[in-house]
Order: sequence, then C-alpha cells, then structure tokens
Amino acid sequence: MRKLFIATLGCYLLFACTQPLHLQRHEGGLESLQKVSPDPQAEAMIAPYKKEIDAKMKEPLGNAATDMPKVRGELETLLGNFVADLVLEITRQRLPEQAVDACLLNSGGLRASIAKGPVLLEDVFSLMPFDNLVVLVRLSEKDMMRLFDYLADHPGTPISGIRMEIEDGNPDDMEIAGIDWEDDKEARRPCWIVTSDFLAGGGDHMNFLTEPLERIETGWLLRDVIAAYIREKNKQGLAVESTLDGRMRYDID
Amino acid sequence: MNRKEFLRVSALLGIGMSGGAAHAQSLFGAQKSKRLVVLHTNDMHSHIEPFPDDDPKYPGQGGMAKRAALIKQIRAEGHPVLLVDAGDVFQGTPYFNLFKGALEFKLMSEMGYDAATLGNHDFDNGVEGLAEMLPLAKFPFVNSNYALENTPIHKEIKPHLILKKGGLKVGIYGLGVDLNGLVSSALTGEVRYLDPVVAANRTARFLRNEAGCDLVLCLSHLGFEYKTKKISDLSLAASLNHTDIILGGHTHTFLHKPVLTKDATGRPLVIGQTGWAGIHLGRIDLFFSPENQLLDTKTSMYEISKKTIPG
Repeated sequence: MRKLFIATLGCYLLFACTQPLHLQRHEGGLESLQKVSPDPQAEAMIAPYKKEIDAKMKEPLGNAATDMPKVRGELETLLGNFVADLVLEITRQRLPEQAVDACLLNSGGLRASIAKGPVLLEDVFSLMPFDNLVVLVRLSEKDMMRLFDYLADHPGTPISGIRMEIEDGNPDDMEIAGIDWEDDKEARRPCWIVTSDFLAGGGDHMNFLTEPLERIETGWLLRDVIAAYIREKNKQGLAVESTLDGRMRYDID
Repeated sequence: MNRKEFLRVSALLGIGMSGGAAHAQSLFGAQKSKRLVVLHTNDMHSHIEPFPDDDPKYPGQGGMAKRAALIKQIRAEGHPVLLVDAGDVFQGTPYFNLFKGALEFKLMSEMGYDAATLGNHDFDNGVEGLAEMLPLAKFPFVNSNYALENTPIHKEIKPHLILKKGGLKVGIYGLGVDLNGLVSSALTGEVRYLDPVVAANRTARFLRNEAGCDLVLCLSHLGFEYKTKKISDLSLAASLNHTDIILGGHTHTFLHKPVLTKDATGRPLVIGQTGWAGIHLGRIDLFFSPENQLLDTKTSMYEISKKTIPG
C-alpha cells in the first residue's frame, strides 16, 4: 500500500528583539519521498559483527510456560516475580552458607517481556541488556525499614522472599524470612538481600542499600544467572513459569 | 511473496514561514546567504541494525547502514554539513555487550560525525571501558560540566570545540546529566557533575565573545523536559545567553519539530531531539548573511524506515 506523507506545516513567526540576530523560522516543504538503500560500506563493516552476534544469540535456552509481559502500574508482575524468584533461588543454591533472606530488583531494569514458548539467549539479552552484577548486602534493621518504605512508595518493584501490604502509602504486615517484621519486634535482625550492583550503588534512589553492614560481590552477571536458570530447568525437562501470589497487596480493610 | 522493500525517508516536518514569499526568495537566493546543514542524532543505544520487522512499535525502522546512506545523500547536496550526536551511543543491544561500543564508534567515524557529547549509558562499562573505546572514534567528544581531571578520559573529552565549516566558525559545548542514581559510582569513578547552567553560560560566552564563533551549539544529555524542577533543555534554555541551538537527548523525546523558545535575553533559541535508536535523523538548515549573521533556520526530520509495497 502506498501511503502519502502529509507534512505538518506549522507556522512560526519570530522576530529577534536584540541584535544582531534576526532569526526567523522559514517555510520548508516536505522533503520528497526518497529511496535509500543501506550504505554498502557500512553494511560491510557490520557484517562480521552481525555474524558473530547472530550465531550467539539464537541459542535456545528452554521454554516459558506462560507469557510474562512487562507491565506498569501493577503491584506485582509475572515478569518481576519470575526474575526475583530465580535470582533468590540460584543465589541460595550457589551460596548455601550465606542464608540470603530476600531479593530486590528494579522494574526499570527489566527491559522486555518473556513470551510463552521457546526462550532464546537474545530474549534474555532483551530482558536484561545491562551488564549488571549480582551483589549481596546485609542491611541493618533501620535500612530494612527504609527498604519497606521504598517498596510502599514504589509498587511493582520486583521482590522475592518478602510479603507485605501497602496501607495509605505505608508498609504494613511485612514478612521476611519467616519473621513477622511488623509485630514481632524481638525477631527483627539484619537481613541479607541479593540485588544488583546498580541498585547497591544507590541506583533508582535505593539509598538504603549504599551503606550495608556487609557486602559481597558475586561477580555473576544478572543476565547469566537468568540464562543459567532457564537452561537448568530445560535440562530437567521443565518450562519456566511464574505466578502472582499476593506478595505485595493493598490493605483493603 | 513478491514484495519490494525500500527505505522510506520522509520528512515529518514542515516549517513555519514568515515575511512573505518574496522576502524569503531574496533571503535564500544563492548569492545572498551561506548555508550550513546541521544533522543530529541522540540515544542511538547500540541500534546498529534496524528493529525487526515484527517489532510492535518500530517495525523495520532505524539501522546505521541506512543512516549512513542518507547522510551521504544529504552531503551530495553540496552544502557544508555538521553531523553531531547528543549522547547514549552505548547500551541496548548485544552489539554493546559483546563488542563494548567498538562498532558504534567505527560506524559513526565512517559517517563523518563531527562531534558528540557523553550520555549516562556511555559510562556503562566504566570510565575505563569508555576510555578503551575512544580511540576508535575519529571525532571529538565534548563535555563542559563534568570534572574529569583524575579520570582516564581527561584528555579526550574537550570542554568545548571550535570547528570551521563553510566559512563559518561553529562553537560547540556539551552538557551531561547528573550521573548520581543513574550510573553506579563504581563505574563513573572520579567523574564529578558540575552545575550545567554555570558551565553552559561560561563556555558559550567564551565561544561567542572571545573565540568569535558565528554559531554556538549545545549538545545536551540533560533531557528535554521534566515535571519536576530537574534541569532540562527547556529550563536550561531560559537561563542561557549566547547559545543558538540545543540539540538534546536522554529523555528519548521524538520532537517532530524542534521547539523554538527564548533564552534569558529574549533571543530565539532552537531545541531539537530525535527520539532514540536512530529511528530519526534531525536536520536544521541554517542560513547566514555574507557577514556570517544567522538569519533563518529551516528544520526537517527524516524517518528512517522500511516500507513494504506490493511488487
């Protein structure tokens, strides 16, 4: 179908009031529709890089049992729960002595949806293009409170190992690692949180992560952890999945 | 399917007029004015290849080989061309993860970029990662509001540039966004953010008054506009003096028409931004008097896209 382009012809009139400039916007027509083929020299430069990328990115990792769309404005998402849960699970597997309590990520860092069906390495690159590293931080009780406050202010932040309500913009009924944080003040203790180096550096204004009691650099790329998890499930003959389980809820009393 | 694909390059933008056709004719008569064509991009985010044809938002759009061809075609018009980028060349496709920005810089060099400024994502492999890639960029980088003295990019990043184009002296400076909260401090090292308004006015005054530039251009990665009081190209413009054009980035704003606003003294100032991912190429034709006074601007926007028509 041929389509004609309609130029939006705006009218501007502007007289400079100081000297020496007399800048005026001027009428200009629509540039004519032109055929441009890709520049052969540029294409030749790209070709060897593209070949390497394509070979690598088409690696099949496994399958997704459901669509996990990137959505905004929800308290929890299939995509956020999927990534936060797997990062917590893999970290516990790899560092069993560390007793990691929860995982905290940022929704802005998950850049693309996972579609039901085969998952290729390129899908994981789209999801997590940044070379963020997995970092563990041990937070004081005070910084844990700041974390809960942040979650109440930023619904949709991907978490795992934490359950809570939001009541009038404040955190309520918080639970972490079996601790009833809200009511059992005696049981409160510093917690180990697995997150990304971006956030641990105060990214997305998570300032409560920047001065932890202890910090461990795993050196693992977050993206590699996601890819490894999907490969591992596939080896077991399983598709990856995700559920919404009410880990973040509004108080509806 | 017997279908022909061709690149659709359309100018999305028509331009206002003033002064009547006769006036315009005389102004734009071949003998009476000098022309400089400014081409600009921002936030290309490692989009070397076009978006896939099944992309829900930008099917088949963008692609650096097509942009290279378009730029060649514009150069063939014969006017002097100034080609600039407003930052965030890096990050967004596996090309960056695997090759760390090498191909992006090589292609930009091949296209003949004259200058670029730094975006926050250009620090994603650390200031050292950027330093490693800079030798591949055969064009200068400019930034005027990062203190870089203790960093490995100190020598490569210029506080301002003065370029001669078609008998005109063009001064360029660059402004970067506050990296705090955007890039981990482990990556930015000792790069320190300084007040962009102060840096802009100091640099622009120097370029205009001391260096005698005919055109002063700001490459900004501050962002076009915010709901908060955060400094943006729009709020910056109202505090500026001696700057003619801001070509911006960071907010991925598709300005189909550059915005005409006023600087602190009421003089006109043009702000442009071309979205992201190399989908658009912005163009501003500047017309100068024989005495190098800027008289008129004509702006247009190219959309780099693939159109499929029945064969």
